[in-house]
Amino acid sequence: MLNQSLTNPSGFLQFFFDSLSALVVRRWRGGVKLRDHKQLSSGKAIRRCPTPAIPLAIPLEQGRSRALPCVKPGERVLKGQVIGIGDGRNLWVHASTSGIVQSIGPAAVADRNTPAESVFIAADGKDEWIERQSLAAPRTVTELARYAMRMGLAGLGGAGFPTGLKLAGAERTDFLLINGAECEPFLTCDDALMRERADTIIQAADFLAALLGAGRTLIGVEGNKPEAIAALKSAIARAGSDVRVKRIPERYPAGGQPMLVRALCGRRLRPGQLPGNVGVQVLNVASLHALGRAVFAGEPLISRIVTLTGSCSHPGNVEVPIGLPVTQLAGIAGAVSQDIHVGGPMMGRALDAPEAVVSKTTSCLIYGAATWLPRPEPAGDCIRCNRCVDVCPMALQPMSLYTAAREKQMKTLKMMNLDACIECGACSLSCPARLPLRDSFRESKRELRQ
Amino acid sequence: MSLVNGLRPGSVRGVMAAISLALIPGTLLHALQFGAIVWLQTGWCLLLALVIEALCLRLRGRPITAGLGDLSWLVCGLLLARALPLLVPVWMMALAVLTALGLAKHAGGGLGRNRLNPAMAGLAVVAICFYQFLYPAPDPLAPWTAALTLEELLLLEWQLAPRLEADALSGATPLKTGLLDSAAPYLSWCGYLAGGLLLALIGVIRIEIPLAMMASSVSLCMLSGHTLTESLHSLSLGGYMLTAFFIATDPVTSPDNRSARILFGITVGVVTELIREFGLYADGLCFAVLTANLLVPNLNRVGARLHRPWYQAA
Ligand code: SF4
Ligand code: SF4
Repeated sequence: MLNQSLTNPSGFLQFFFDSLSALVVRRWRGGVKLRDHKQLSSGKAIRRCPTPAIPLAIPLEQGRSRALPCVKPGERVLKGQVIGIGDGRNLWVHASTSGIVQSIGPAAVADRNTPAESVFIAADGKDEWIERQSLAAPRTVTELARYAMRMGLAGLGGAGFPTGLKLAGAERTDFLLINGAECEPFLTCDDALMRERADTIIQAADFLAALLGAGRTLIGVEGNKPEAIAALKSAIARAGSDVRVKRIPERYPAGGQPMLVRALCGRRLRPGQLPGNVGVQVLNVASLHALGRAVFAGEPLISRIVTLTGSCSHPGNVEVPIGLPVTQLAGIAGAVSQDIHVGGPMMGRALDAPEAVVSKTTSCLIYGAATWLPRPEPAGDCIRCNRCVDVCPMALQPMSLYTAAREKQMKTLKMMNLDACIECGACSLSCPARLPLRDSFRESKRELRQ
Repeated sequence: MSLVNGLRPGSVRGVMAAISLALIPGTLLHALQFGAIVWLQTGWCLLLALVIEALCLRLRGRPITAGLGDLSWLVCGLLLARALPLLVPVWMMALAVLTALGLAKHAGGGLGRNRLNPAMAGLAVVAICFYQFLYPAPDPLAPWTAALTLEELLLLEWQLAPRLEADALSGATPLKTGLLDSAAPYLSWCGYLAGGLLLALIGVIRIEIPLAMMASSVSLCMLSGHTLTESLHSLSLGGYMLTAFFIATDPVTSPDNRSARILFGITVGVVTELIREFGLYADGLCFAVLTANLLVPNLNRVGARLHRPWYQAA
């Protein structure tokens, strides 16, 4: 690809420009500096969750993806065994430990509004692995995409979009960007992963870059994670890889796709464009790590790292099998509070069903949410202070959008580019009048789509 | 616990409280120079603002405690107290507060929807209707109000004693010859400047408005033949600093983007200077602010055209 781009003058210019872009961190406007509270949970090594011997509920639904159950009640399953069959658009689902299938039905999921169809497994505490298939490593992107779907690889950073679908959509890729920004306060699960498993991450990045034909691979990490940056750099040196780690400024939402693309490679992702449209592929570090484990060790995605933080005696990061009830984690964290927030304070939500289980996208549990998070207050009147405008990373006018959203002026909303809103919540957080800006935009966007 | 880093107050009440606190140094210096009348006038205005705000909220069927809780009446009362000339009768203050809160704010749609700065609208009505009553007002060169007793002040404010004429006064009240008068003719501007800079520092007001305003005033003043020192000196006169940092920066009635805010500041500065130079009024600040307030939608449109989202290619 390098030779190709060097043969014609415009390609050469592009090559030169890309090289320059790979070196500098480009600026974007907006965002807010947050108290990150990361030191609460970042100090200790990743702990393992003790092998469960209790009923788990493994969700077959993840975001819009939905697998068909392929096991029957009474059947014994092994760790890593397929329990839900997917297809080109739906992720396959695997048992996260060994045990007996009890039933199939809806279960509450920690970071989901509605219960998800799940397979209930009475874990036997033996944690017996199924024989891992040593599949030949995928040799094309299409093969890899299919493989990723079979391994149940959901994006671990945010909404859980299947990694395979992302890769299947890849066109020409100049830059492979790895998102290690973790700009949400409280979360340290990606940080811990980068510190402790940098080698797998770098190996996976090299593998994926080669497959995609990406000329450059850049990892963006917010400056508040110096240990992670150091760990990645030494892993790069050990592997002799040409991946670059870039320190990006701490500012929420630095990990948002358009912001990250801009900061790392200088390309501008306009609203409505996908990274693929501008020759970029973006993957979260944890998703990349899972991809590495799937490709190199044949392990499907059956566990994830969850940050336990807030008011608890043993905060930290724990590797949790998918489907474990969150009540089990209270013991590990040493928490008594029932007031739990799931996910980061910006994008997460309050845990409403105490019996809910951990899914592939459950990143964090904040115990004693009331003491750590802003108190919800009744909305006042907008004083046109413009803070929402200043912080909006997508350069929107949240205060005007809000008025239009309240009055359901769909045409005006369209004209003011509501679709560009990434629902980051920076506006709502900064608003002194406490207007529920983001929530109203979320709703209006849904209405607009209909 | 707030998640946002920094000192910026996170609620409307916090913002209003910060502005009120930042007004204290200027008011203090003012009182030092002019005496008890300053506190008296502030007290009356606050009382009136509280009562009238509560009444308006009641009439609009809004919850009263929540409406008063945002403290916007406090800021409006304080500003009016400081913007009105000293020794105006109480009924005139009432008229000003009624215009400010009742007409400009609540009849204009409530907090956040008014287009005119309430305090300036109130002042403008009084200034236009009762010009003869107001001027000449107590002057920093002759701060005779400082020598009056509380009783005399109250009688004057309720118009129970005949209005003191400036001429009669200069003979009647010995001009104080203290350090204050000789060293600095007018003091309170330092207080407003300090308070305003503090507000800008914690992100409550936008510094570009006062900066643009002062820059344009000074340039125009120099263009009309004054020296730089004179032009700079003119910034300390009257309520200039108060207006620049506390009134023109009112978020509700100032524009929505930086370029427009700069244009807004320039408008205020220019109109002020024109009125000072050619107008009938000694201080044109309130008319300048109102003029610029009316231009805000246009300025917004002009400013918006200059802004391009960062993700749009140049
Ligand atoms: S939620 Fe939407 S409108 Fe609000 S700051 Fe984020 S992108 Fe802007
Ligand atoms: S931050 Fe809130 S109060 Fe300020 S302009 Fe935006 S919507 Fe209005």
